[in-house]
Amino acid sequence: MLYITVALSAEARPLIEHFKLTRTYTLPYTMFENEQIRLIVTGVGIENAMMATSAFLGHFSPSKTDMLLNLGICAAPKNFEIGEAFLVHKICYKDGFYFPDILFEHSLKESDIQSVDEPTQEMLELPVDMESYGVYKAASRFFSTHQIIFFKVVSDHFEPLYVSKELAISLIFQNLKNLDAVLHSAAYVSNKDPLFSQEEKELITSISDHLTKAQSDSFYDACCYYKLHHKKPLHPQGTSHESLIKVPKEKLSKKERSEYLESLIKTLTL
Amino acid sequence: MNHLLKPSHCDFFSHLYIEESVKEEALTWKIMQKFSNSKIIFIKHYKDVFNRPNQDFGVQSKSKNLILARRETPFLYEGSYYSDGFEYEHFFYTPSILGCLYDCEYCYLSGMYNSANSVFFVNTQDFFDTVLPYLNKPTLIAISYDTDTLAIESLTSHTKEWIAFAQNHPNLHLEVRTKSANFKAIKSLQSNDNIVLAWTLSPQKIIDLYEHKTPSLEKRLSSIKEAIDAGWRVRVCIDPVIYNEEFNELYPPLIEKLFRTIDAEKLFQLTLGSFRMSSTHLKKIKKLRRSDIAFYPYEVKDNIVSYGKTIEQTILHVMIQCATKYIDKERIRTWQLQ
Repeated sequence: MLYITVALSAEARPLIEHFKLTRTYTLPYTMFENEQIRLIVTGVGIENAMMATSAFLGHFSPSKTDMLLNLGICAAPKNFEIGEAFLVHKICYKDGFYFPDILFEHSLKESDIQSVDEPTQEMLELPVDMESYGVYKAASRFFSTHQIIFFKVVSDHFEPLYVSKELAISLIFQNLKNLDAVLHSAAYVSNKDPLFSQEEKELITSISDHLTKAQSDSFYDACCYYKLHHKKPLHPQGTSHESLIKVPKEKLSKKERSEYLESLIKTLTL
Repeated sequence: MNHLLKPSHCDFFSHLYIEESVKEEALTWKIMQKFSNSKIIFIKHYKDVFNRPNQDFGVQSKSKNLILARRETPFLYEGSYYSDGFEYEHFFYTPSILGCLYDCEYCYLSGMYNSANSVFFVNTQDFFDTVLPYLNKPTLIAISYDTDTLAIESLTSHTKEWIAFAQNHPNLHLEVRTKSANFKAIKSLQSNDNIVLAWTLSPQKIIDLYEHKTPSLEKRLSSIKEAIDAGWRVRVCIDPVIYNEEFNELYPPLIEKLFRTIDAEKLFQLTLGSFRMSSTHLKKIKKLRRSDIAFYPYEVKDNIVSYGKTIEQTILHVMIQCATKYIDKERIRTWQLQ
């Protein structure tokens, strides 16, 4: 699942069209989704971004292979062109810093970004937005450092009054191919095949139900060893261990549990 | 047409994080020049990057980055219980580089650090100054404890600097431990009997399975031979031995191969030891879920996981029996759970 945060409805519009998202009313925010993507409009500013991101991710509990994208327009100095997209590798706000990891190859510029509390007309040395710091602060509770992506599009050279809704929509539309490329590469790096199949997970759970917590942990470790060492499926059908790792039919006594665990570990780790 | 790029991990050192305090240092400039295509990110303190919560060691291992920083005290740590101190009264290791270029699945570093990136402290002179007061007695310093200094030598010249420092201090003994095949980096230096170059060897199958990004056994052996021929004291460490059902097919032949390649008489020492680790580090490594080594049903005693006495004794018995065909027992060091 890809989670997307944007500050403005205008920033959401190109994404809604591009990813064919539909409106959802799960939380008291403007939200859209399809089967692979959920998008929230956070509102402007660090505090709004942080609160909405917390509510969004807290509600849906992302899995370890999910990603978060923060997309938005920003002001930037003149060494950035209007409409240019870039990725953020350092977020500064007052005395605080965050460092999202960018571990995939891409063809965009990378930059620091300064998060500020108010729109600024003063020409600064770094690109400036009003949300990145808040989004990262909330998202870092849920995601690894390489799974939080900041994709920014330069809308102006510190002339916020000239930035219209139409301009924001158009600049993001122009960068959808860049965005697709970034998401494709980021997903490649984040992707982890699960160690166990659904069938194996069910088998582990059924067996663990007959064991104490500590015994279940030892059994689970032995299953991991077996899978990683032998690179063979764990499920009973078609393996030579069918009779040894089958689920007990009856409740086991304390002594039987210990013997059962011992035989499981022996089978899986020898 | 960006979207047509085949997705891939970034190259090593695609990003250089540089502490503001070292950005004017000559060594920093040298490294920046070597990686002129890398993205430079200035930071206040290395811990802001290296110690971030929620880093993914496994993913970072595929595209490690480099952090250049200034070390603050402590510059020395007491040698660890898990390693051989060779009976020196003063036995320390230096944390002058944190993190390793190599990616060995059994390495305690992945259980110790939040990050797979490396930190290089460029203020080497401060490390030397801290060592000086101890040099009234023979002092052993392991300079490649939390890293493999020779692997990264072309970038840092770190080993060379320590060797040069040791030339002027007869009580200073160094251990340079490596899996690299990079003896050429220090080949031009005069050998010194107070310095031991310690190579870790594993059977090629174990290297392929668990020691990612490391040179092959052949390359390591040829580097060892070169070092011995140049007059250096070389310790070969077959440590940690990774025990599995193929132990007998993998490890005795490794010893045979070693002594077919080098002159046993010229080998300073051979160290043998089986895998062991603090259970705290192993617990963290398990979370990475990528190595069978982490999930073996070890015995735990005093917060140390190991194969247990029976297997350890089997490992040592087989290996010592094989090694003593070539070298006397006095030159064999072993690590065994007490």
